Amino acid sequence: MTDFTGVRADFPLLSTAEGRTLTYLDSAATAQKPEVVLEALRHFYRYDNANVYRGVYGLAARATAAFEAARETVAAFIGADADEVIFTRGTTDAVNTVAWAWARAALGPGDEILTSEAEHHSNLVPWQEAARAAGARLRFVELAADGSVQTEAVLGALGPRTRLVALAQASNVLGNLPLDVGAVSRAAHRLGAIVLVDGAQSVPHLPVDVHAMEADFVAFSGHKMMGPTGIGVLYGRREMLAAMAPFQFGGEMISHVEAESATFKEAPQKFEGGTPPIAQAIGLARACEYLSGLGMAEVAAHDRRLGELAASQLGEVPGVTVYGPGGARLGVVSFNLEGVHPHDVATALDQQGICVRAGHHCCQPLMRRLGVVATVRASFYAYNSEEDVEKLVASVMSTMEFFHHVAH
Amino acid sequence: MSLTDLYREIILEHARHPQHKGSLAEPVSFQAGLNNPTCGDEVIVQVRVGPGGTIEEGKFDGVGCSISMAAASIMSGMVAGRTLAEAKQLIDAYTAMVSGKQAPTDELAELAAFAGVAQFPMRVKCATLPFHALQKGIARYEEGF
Repeated sequence: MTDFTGVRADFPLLSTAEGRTLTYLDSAATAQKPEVVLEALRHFYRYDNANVYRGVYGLAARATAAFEAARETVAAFIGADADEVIFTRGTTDAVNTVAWAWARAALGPGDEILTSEAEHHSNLVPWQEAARAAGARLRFVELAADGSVQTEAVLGALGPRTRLVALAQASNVLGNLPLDVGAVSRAAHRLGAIVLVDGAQSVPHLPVDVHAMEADFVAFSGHKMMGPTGIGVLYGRREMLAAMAPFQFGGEMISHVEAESATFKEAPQKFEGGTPPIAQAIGLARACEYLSGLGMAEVAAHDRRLGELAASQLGEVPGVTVYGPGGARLGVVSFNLEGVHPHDVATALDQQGICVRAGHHCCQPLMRRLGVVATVRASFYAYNSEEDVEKLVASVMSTMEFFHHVAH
Repeated sequence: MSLTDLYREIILEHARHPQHKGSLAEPVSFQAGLNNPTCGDEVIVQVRVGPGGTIEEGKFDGVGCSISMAAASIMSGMVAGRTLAEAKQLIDAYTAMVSGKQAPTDELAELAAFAGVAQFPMRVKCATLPFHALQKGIARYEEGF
């Protein structure tokens, strides 16, 4: 059993004079970075920095080996093979890669993309554009009363024209239990559809095995899982990647270039035009190792426990509405204080050293479904503790007091 | 820096009981809306300009935080009786104050309560949202829309 009490000390930002006073509850937006990740970045730039693939000198060989080792580490972390891992700029870039490299060629008039109104804009807007370009149609899974996407509803919404299912495994707003991607993939494949999983909120917080869940694509970001910004991953099933043409052209991704035409490398390199984010990939791999050291099953249990504690305690504060499921949930809790705008709540909590997100969380359609303009969101990770939950709940109560009583 | 530096009593009062909120009776000389895409706040400002080029009445409508709604409430009351040039001057003095570039001036009157916003950089956009809507409306009106 992992003891999480010492985890916070691994994070330099949370250990400075200012950081020690912070209750950081915005990991769903971006996670803090452990010392080992910062050290991996520094080590690469100090000792191994060269461009990858092209140089014949020893330093370049070392950089290339470190970059490819990073790909293997990241692949192992999600149960993939290294040649199925494409490094992207992040989840958005990964989803867009599928929207342009796969959907543009594969979809036509009458085809349907099954998604939901609870998606992050980055797993909705690319499909709006891809559908428009292909003459395809978006269809939306009916949301449960709490706004969540339930596996049963997805299975029921699959139809004969469904070509693509594009859904998040875990919501960045509601904290509902994850989608059963395996069940969705098997049902979709029987109908000849493929499945793209937005893993931005699941890969950092849950054990994910892409082969076991049989998804065709999984997109996620490095910075939400304690890695650097500017790096993300598109996992693609080998046969899918082999059948897809590249859509960004340039250096690194070519095999042979004539003045008038060119041939391209195999996947994953054919989707990685230009110098890749080398140090970031190495940093991400180190973050994967750090998380594996904690144990993903234990990280998941820890985050869930804090999410459930926060949701139940906030739910008992008069005037507080907690969104998403009651009972079992993940470590993301959205809530509102009656009569107080989320931005005012976030400013008040910030004054007490608590970092939360306030806004629509890039989920405007979901906000409309919940009947709110915005929510406050607290999200938990391995460096958080029960003490953070207590501080949050106490500060929410004093914030309520401030806005409802101070001026009168 | 404390919460009461930002949320002065007059701001909380206007946020709870906004004035000049709703639709302006015809004739409406111009209206302009703005939203803050990061939080979803929306404000629409409506203004009637009298024959002499003086603002007769201003109203606003919208949804938003205490800061944006209180700013809209106080602003809508203060524009009445001002020429468009004076209203623009008020917008400039106010935006300079909340972004920390200038101390409150006498003409800002009640709006001086928003001086504390300068210490909360993430909230400057909330405080200026109605003023930028008014600015947009005036600019369009003067271009002859």
